[in-house]
Amino acid sequence: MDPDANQLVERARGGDRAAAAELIGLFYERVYAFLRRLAANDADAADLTQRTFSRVWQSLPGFAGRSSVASWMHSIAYHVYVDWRRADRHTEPRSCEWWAARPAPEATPDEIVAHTDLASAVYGSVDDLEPDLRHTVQLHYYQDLTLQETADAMGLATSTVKYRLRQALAELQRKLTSQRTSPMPPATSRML
Amino acid sequence: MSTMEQEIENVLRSAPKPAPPAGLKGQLIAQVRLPAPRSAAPPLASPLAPANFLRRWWPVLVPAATSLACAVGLTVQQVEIHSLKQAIQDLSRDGGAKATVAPAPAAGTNDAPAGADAADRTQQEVARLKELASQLAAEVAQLEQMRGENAKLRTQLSEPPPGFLTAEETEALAKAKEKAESIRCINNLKQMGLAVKVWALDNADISPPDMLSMSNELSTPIILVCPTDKGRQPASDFASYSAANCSYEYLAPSAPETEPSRVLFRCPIHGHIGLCDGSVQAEVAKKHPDWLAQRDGKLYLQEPAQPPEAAPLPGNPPPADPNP
Repeated sequence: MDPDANQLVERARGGDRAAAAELIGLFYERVYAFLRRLAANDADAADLTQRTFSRVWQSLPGFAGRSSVASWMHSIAYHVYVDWRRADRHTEPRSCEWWAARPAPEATPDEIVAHTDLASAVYGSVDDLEPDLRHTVQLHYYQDLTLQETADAMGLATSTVKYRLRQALAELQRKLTSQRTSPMPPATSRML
Repeated sequence: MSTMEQEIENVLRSAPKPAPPAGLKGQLIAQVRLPAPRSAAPPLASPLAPANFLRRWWPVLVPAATSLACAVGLTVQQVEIHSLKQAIQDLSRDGGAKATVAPAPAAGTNDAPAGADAADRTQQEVARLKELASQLAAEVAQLEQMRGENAKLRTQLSEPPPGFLTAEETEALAKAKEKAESIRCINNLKQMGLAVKVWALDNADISPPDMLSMSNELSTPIILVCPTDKGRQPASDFASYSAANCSYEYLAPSAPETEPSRVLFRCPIHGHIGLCDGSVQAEVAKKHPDWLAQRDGKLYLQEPAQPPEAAPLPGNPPPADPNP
């Protein structure tokens, strides 16, 4: 994707609107999904996606190609989200129920049943992580960015991203273990 | 990574993707505001482009290039040194071969006069060496003769011919020799007593447990052998010292220094005794054994109220009475 994306960016810098439209088609779903997870709100996510692409067009001349287009886009989206949260004094969202209500659209009913309990617990635990850890997990696992792309998007070193992911996994494991030992109703029952 | 972590990772990777609302893509496309294209806009820099690569990696490349240049320089120097060593070896080998070949030039060559000169020089050298050898042989013979005469003179000196001394003179000489040895024995005891006192000063006024303990206070192990004791050899040093290298009896090991009349040393040959106060009494054990009293396994000097004619050695007065 990235070589094509680079060519599209090059063309868009030359004023090609068709290339810009292709770029939107390539990335708007991922950017929206990322911002939806961050903002925990459909309307805010859509608004932030529009802001993100607006800033993308503004930043287009300055894109030097040192990182991939995907990580560049996610970096802009992340900064747009941070600015938005600071400006409007939004609190950190906690959307545990969101994951239970929205299983993967491509999953079969059997997979949904098998995964629901664990997945709900995992996603809920991710939402309870510290912001730095949660954003790293979202970029790397949910957005399918590589370690390097995640580091570029967040402006961190790759080693820091690795450390945060290890820390997040350990924290998730600890939380899930404690949830399994403590009596807690399964997510399926909560869904019903 | 544990199984649970793998499971968590799989769940995270298969997380549901929130679908964007319908119409968002159209809004985004409609809102595209591309900046005006610049005529001299720089092309996208690929991380692998040469200029970008150099700009990014020059802090690493410069030291690496310097190190590489140094390594190349060192290698070139080593190769040159090796070749020079090889050349030196070749030259020295050639020089040795020429030296061995030079004394015997091939016959029939054009440099025959030079060969004749060399032969003359060799003969002259041989003659000179022969003359030198004969001189040395004469000197050796002379030295042998002088050594024989020396040995003869030495035997004459060690064995004076009969009639050289009269009987009285010989007896007087033997007495003088015996007295000298006795005085040397007394001197030994004095030095030993002094060593005991020095050792006791550093060790709570207690005498040393044995002779070897005060080796640092004794000047030499030679004083531990009575000059008259011909059957005993002094130790060369205190490292090789043993009881066989001591003529004297040590009678007060680890004794307090508060008993000045206690006998410290005794010479079994002359009968001299050394007391704890550092004094030495000549021939007491030999001539006046009744002056020595044994109490509790200790030996004390007890002089009678009016000592007989056996006076102490001149210059070595009897110890003062500790309880006048």
